[in-house]
Amino acid sequence: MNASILRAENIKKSYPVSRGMFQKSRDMHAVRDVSLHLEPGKTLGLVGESGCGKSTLGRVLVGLEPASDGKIFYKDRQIWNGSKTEFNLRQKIQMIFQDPFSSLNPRLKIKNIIAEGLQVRARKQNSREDIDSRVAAIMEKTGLSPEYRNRYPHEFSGGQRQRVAIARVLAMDPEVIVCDEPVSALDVSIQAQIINLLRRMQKEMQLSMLFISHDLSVINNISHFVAVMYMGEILETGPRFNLFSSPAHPYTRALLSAVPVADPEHKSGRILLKGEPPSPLDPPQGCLFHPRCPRSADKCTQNEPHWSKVGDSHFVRCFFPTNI
Amino acid sequence: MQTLLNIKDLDIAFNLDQGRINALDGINLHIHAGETVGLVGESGCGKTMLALSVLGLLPRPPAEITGGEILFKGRDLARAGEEELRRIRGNDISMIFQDPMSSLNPVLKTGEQVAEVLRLHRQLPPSRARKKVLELFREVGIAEPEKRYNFYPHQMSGGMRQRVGIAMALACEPELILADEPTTALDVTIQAHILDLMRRLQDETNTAILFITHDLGLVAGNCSRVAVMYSGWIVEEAEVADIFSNPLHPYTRGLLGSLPGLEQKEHPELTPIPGSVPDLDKLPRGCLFHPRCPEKRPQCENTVPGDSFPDSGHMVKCWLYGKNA
Repeated sequence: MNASILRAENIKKSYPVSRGMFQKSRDMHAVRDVSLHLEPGKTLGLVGESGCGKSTLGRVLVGLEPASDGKIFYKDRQIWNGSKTEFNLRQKIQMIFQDPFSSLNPRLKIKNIIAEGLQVRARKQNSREDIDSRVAAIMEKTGLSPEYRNRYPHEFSGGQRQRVAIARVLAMDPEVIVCDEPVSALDVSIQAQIINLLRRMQKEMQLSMLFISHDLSVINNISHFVAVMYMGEILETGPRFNLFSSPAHPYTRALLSAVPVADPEHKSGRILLKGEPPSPLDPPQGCLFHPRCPRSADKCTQNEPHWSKVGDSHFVRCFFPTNI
Repeated sequence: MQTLLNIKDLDIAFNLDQGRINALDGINLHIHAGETVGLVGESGCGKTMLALSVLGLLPRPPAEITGGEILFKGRDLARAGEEELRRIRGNDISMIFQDPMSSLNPVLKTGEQVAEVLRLHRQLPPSRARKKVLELFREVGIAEPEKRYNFYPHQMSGGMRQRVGIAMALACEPELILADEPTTALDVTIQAHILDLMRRLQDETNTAILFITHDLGLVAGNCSRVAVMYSGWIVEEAEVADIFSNPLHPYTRGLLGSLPGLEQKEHPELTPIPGSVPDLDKLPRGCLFHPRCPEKRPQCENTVPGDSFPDSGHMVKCWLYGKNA
């Protein structure tokens, strides 16, 4: 394994769900036992459908939510041990959110939104940073004209707001960025601008990214490694090329076959899955995917599959992986 | 082939406090019986507005049809009265909305909502309407229809709700369905089911579909013809194969260049369109696309381009082509 910059081990996150006044609440497992690591300068794409727990996992890694169990390491220093977090290291791990309309404070000017983190840091370290010039430089870098610094978020379009969100994050000199569906709310032409910006910033600043998305085309474009999530578990993980060219898990294959391709000649060979994801409150026994799986056998309904290796750093959690 | 819907030079304006805003400008579009036509564009380009105008569902005021015709089998819907539109809506032309949560009535059982359409348009007695609804539910792949008939929308998943929306749109066997981003709110695996369903039902009933979407990938797999919209104009219209193999308008090329695909190549660079869509109250002079256009010419800044047809059946509204050039 290469030196990882952020490593999560056996992360679990559950929420109590009340079932009325007289019954004991149950736990809803949003993330069940996920381990992953991020390498410097590389992107891990985390893909899955709505409700699979990918955003929760992102929030746990950044520290917005405490994990129920598990460990998180930043450069071999443990920053979450089940109860306590080290906040000054957390500065190096930043997050970009999906909705640029609700993630920016509408009553702050752009320059103050970008400078807020810098001011907090300057105060803490008793240092005097030249905040104004830094804000201008970072705005320039992210494709925002510094003339706009006195405007408010509502004066910007969705794409520009997402640039502000990126500027705010980059101002902190992060090493890891968790991007939670950062382009899903944007139109295609703007989406491409933001993807290119993120990739350029990654190259310039050697950023490590966790890129969360439901869109396989976007994931394919931006990621070096990919992890596929389903009902709070990672089912398959591997280098982008291997995973997209020879997907081993039936779920990954179905997902890939369902992506609409902008080519009228394309023959889809769509794999249709049975039914819909079961309720996370009432997960199936054995393999979580078996009720919808086209290959499920008796074994799958009783036992949980463990990780097996199907290629170079390509792992899958399935009894009957496709190995091509 | 019979032309079912023929929209001619349609203009729609909004009368707002700031003055009059042109939302649609000189729209020409026709749909034949049994055909699926794609309507693509980014948010705010007027694609939903166009669909709503066909059904007479525009918020009037402030919206106003300021010119042109919407001919449905020879009748002009732009000038039809409310009574006539009401007979057509849900009967000859129906609509599938993007968000199945907000398009269904939250306090009515889903089965009843579909039955309502049949009672109104077909005058079916309640028991026969119910029977027909159960049949429709089965057809669109809703398991245990007897049980689901009594479900309220909130008791169903997004995919299931969209199936109810489709059942409702199909109830009276319409000749034309306006599908406004019918799968945008759904996950890809569910989207695949819904698209398969729509295609299968279309084969069986020979219904024409206007498929409104922002996703060129969906157009490629589901439509025969496509119109590309930008800021209230149709800038290009052609057979689907032509649009993808030979896109003419710089905007269409820009959209295609912006698409991240599933190709195996290592991180192909995307070529986005610079800038962003102009606000409708600050539209530029001349060609609406010129501020973002990489192939801008001097005349683009001042003069509106006409429609030209460099190839037969392939329309483009751009100064680079045909008699405009």
